[in-house]
Amino acid sequence: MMFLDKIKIIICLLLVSNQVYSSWNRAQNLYNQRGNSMNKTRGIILELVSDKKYFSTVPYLKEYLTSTTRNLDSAMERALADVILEVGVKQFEILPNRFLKRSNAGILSYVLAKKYLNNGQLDKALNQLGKINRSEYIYPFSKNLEGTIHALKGSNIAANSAFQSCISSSRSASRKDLLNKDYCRLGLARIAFQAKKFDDSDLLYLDIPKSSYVWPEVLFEEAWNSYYQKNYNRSLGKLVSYKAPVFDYIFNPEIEVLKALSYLKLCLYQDAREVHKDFYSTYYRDAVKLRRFINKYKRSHKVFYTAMLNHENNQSSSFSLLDTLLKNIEREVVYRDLRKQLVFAAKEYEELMKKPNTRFKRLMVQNISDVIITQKKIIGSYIRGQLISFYAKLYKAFEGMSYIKLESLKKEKESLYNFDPEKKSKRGDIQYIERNQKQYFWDFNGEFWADELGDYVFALRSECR
Amino acid sequence: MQMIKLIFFIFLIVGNVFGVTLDERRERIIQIIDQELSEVKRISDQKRGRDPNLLLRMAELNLEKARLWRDKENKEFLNLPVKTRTKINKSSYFKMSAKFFYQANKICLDIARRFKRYGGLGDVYYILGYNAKETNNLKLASKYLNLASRKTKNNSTTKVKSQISLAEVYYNQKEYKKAIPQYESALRKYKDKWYTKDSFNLAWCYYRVGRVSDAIRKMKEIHSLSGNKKYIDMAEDVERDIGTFYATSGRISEGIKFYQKLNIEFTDKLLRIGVNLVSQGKFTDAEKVFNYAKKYEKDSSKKIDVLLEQLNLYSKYANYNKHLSTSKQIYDLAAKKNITKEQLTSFLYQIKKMSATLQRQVIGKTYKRLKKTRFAKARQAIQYFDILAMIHKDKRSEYDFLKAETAFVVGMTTLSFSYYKDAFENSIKENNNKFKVQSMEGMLAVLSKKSRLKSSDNIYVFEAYLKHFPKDKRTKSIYERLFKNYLDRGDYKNAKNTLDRYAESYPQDFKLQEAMISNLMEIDRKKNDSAAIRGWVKAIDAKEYKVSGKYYQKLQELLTSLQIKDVQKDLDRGNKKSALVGYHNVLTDKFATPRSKINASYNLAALYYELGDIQNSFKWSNEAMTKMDAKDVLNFSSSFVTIANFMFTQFEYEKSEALYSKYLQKICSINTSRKSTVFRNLFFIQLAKHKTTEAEKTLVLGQRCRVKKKVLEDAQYELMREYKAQKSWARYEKYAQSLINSGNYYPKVIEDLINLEEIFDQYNNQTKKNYYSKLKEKLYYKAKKEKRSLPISVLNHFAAQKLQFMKQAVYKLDLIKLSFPEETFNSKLKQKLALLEDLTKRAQDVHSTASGQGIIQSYKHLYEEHLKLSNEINNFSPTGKSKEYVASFKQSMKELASQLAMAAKNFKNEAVRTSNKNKILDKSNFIFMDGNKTGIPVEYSGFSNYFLMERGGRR
Repeated sequence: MMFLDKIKIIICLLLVSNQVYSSWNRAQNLYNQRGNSMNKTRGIILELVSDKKYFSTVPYLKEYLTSTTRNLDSAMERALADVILEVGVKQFEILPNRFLKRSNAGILSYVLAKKYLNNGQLDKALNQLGKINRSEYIYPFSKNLEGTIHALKGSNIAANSAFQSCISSSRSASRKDLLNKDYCRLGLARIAFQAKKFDDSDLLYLDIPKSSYVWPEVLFEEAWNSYYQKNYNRSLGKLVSYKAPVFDYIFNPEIEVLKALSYLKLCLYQDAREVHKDFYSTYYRDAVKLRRFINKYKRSHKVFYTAMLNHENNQSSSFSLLDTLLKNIEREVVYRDLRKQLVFAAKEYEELMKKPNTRFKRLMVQNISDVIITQKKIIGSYIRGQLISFYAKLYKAFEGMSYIKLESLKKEKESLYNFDPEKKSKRGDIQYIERNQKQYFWDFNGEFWADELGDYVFALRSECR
Repeated sequence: MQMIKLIFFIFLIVGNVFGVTLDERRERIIQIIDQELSEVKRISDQKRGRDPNLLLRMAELNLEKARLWRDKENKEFLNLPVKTRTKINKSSYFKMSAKFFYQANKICLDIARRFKRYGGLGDVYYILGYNAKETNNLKLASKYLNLASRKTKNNSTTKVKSQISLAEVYYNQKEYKKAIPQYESALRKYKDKWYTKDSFNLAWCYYRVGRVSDAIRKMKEIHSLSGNKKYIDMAEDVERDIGTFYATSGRISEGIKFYQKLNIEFTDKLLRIGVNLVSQGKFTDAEKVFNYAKKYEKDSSKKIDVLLEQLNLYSKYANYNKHLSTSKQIYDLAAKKNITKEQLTSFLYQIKKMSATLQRQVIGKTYKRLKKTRFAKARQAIQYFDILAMIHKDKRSEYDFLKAETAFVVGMTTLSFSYYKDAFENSIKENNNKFKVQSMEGMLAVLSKKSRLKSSDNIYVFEAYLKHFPKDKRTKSIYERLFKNYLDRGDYKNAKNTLDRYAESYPQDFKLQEAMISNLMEIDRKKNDSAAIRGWVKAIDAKEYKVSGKYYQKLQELLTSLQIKDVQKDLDRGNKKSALVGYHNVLTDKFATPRSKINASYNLAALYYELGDIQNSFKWSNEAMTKMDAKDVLNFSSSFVTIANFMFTQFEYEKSEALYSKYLQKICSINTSRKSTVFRNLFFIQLAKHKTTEAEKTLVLGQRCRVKKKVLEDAQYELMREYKAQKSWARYEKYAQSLINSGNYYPKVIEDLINLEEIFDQYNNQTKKNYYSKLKEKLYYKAKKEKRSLPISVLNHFAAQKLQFMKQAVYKLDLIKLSFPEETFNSKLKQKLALLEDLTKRAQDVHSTASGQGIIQSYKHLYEEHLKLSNEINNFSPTGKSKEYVASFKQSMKELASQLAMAAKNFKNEAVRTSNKNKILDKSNFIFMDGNKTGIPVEYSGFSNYFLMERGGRR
């Protein structure tokens, strides 16, 4: 390295160390000052954010938001945005809306919009999202959310526009941005699907690359799309991709339901019942266990957090379904973010511990401990929520399976009543495969190749009369 | 054969390979349903039974399963033998389906109870209604189906199904008016493959309520739709039933057109329609249809089929008139040889059945009092038998016989006879012994009734009987009856012929021969054809006929009576001399029967009596009575008694006696009042002649002949008196004894007992004297008690006895003489007064005897003693006493004396009064009678020109 370069580096380091030293100490000094004014708090927040002590700042920020009567100034807005970006929105979602409204920061508007969405107040959510500036980082995410809200409201055109805006505004190559962009693309496909334009949605689904994080979800939706296109073989083909080992973490009982439905539509009642039988034999007992597990520990976040922790430490759960679910949760983006936030909080905690033992330091340590605890609760709560959600899906899937079975029995009974003789015929033939212009035909030789995943198609002949 | 087997075998295999049997399919469906049920139950349990849709589905699945099980059970049940089916418990065979029906029901009721606002309640009620319908609980089914219909949306399948089911319930309950709107509403909305079947029911509903046009229109619609595979083919049912609609509504020509399009003969249909209507009990409609069929049918053989069905119809509802007229129509056709063997068999069956039925009704008790109806039925039955006879010509005799029997039962005797006759004659032709016998019995039965048959009919029957049943046990009586009939007709020749035949057949049976002969002889007798009668006698003597001895005797008598009759004629003409001669001739005639001789004797007696010839009248009377038997004597009693009396009046006492005696002896055993008269007459004649021995014999005879007791007692009494007069005391006593127990005579006999007492006293037979003394007392007091009148002598006798006591008192009184001293005087006076009193009492005793003499005597004593005492007192003067004493004494005694005198006077007056009142004649009367006013009673005075006569009239 050249001498000048070295000098530059040394100077930069000095500057940084000065800056770092300056922010922490300033914050400390402010803390040591007498009085409890908002300004003091504000000052501490700004210094800690400048020192990149985001997690430690969270309690101060919450305090400031709940104590101040005025809207946040721009510096505070920026500080808040920085903190949320690092810490995540969940720490602040628990705050009442009136406090969140004190900030004009896009990120908080986003948080507020999400809260409104969860409460079903779609118009209010849209209102909040409308306040977010295009220049803001959160803008593409807000557009994603906006598109979703419009789609929920049935305003497909507005949703379409929002998603397009989301895609166009997502220029960053960060993982998050890319993920958001893919979700917006998915959103477009979903709108077409909702509008029953299955052929359009079929093509839109294909726009999402297999490398995308959302692609495993897309597969399932594509399967539904094919189902509605009455291309049951293709639907089955989509679903069979989930058998690939790479997708062993995915838990979606609806996959089996759709599979059974597809067989049903092909009047392959026996196959449908086999799916039903397999589904029940695979999941029924574990579903009961899961229910008991949830009911037993429903008031405790810790158990769920611990369960995940044990899972990450490669400890098996008491029943296999739980392992599968935890594995699924582990791969979720939301969980990963939460997890990452916890790790960062832990790192920050370690850094703080290295600081001299002052009252300020102890306070900060306390703060960050609280944040860590809260984060763990959030994680545990999230896991619990997901498990409940999975159980609900399972429950619904059982019901669905039962109805499918009933339907298959009914059809079989009808054929017996109508004196239809049983036909013995070949199960499948490539003549039954339908393709669009983006699809090619390849034989399956028993291996799940990554690039072939999602492109399988069954060649079953329908046995309907 | 091998090829056929091979083909069959291949077919079997192929069928199995490619086909699934019904049972297998059912089993598989049931298995699927079980899986469905299990799944639905699981889901429902997951939802804790709160989802009514799942519950409803469970109910539907249970219902479906129940129906499948019911199919299976029905099949198994119907495969059982009929006998087994009737014996087993049906419910046990259907328990599986019942279980599932129950389960479905239970679930539905649970849904209805728990989910009152459930939108699928209509389906729930439909299931309940359907189940109720299956279990034949139509009322409940109706209720639920109505609810189902109300609770479902207008165009829903459940509503339609509910309406159809409800309509079916109403249809089954025959509430067609209610069924129609349900069917109409449902079928308007829904046209599935069952449309034709449901419309078929609707058509029938229209028909039932009289909307025939609608019914026909609907049927036509169903017929046209049945060609479409989408609907159930009901064409055959329509073709079967629309005919009924056409037929019963009279739209025959339309019906014909309809069927012509189908190349079907409507008349054939009409026949089947009619048969169906009959089986349904719709007789009026069936008759109408048959009439149409008959009208339109050209083929005579088919026409007979129609007529036969009509016969069946009329037979079913017992319209005998129409049945008969139809039978005649069939017969007319059959006579033209237009009838097949089967038709003939059916026809004969009907005829025979109906005739038997009618005959039973005629014979039975039901119509016994409804004469007109009974007659009508009999006539109908006879007509049936006529038809049968015409058909079965070889059995004419049988049917004629049945006709006769029928006519006989209702009393159509003349008609029945003619039928019996026909039956008889035909049975002879047919060589049918059974009916020959029975028809003969029938004819005889008719004859036995009081019928209007002519005697020629009787004769026919009897002659036929004798001809065909000569050895029958009744032949004898038949001969008799035949004879009688000939006789009644005056056909004596044939009557004799009958007799001859009978005599030949039954030579030893004399009774009937006798009867016949006597009948025939009677005719001769009436004709006074003695020669003919003699001919009979001669024939009998020649053993041509057998008669009893007695009869022979009578014959003789008959002959004689003829003779006597002639004589009688002379007598009637007043030719007594000729009559006398005639009677004498009878007596001397060797052929004269004893009877006639008796008759002649009697008549001679009568004649001689009339002529006043005592001797001969006595002789022949005696003769006649001697020969006559008691009955005859009795019959001629008046004559004989008259003759005997005549004898008596002619002083021919002996003869009179003899006749009476003979008469009495003859009629001794006969109960007649004349017996007593004759007895009395005889007895008193004998008694008058003092023929006491004969009189006693007569008395004995009288007792033997049971003459009236009173008469006998009279005789005994008279006999007793006769013996008394004859002083035959033994006999007197005997008869007195015999009368003491007589209720009539015992009072009278007391006198005789008194006599006997006196007699035995005279003979110093104290024992008997005492005996009679007591006996007379006993009888006396008995008579008194019974208030019987007693002879005066008896009264006097007992009064005399009591008077003795009075006399004793008088004696005592007389013994006591009044004297002083004073105490002595008083004492004696008292004694005397006491004795007077006693005397008076004793006088009462005397009075109680009611003897006039006694009374007078008692009064006499009372009078005399009272007077005596009065006088004695008046005349008594105490000695050794002063005048004043004596005067005062006399004064004081005067009263007493005057009272006593007064009493004496009273007694006297009483005696007079009593004597006058009761006309008492007593020797003491003179004491009280002062007829000559001399004061000196005169005892008696007599007259000189009277003399006494004895009973016999001698002095």
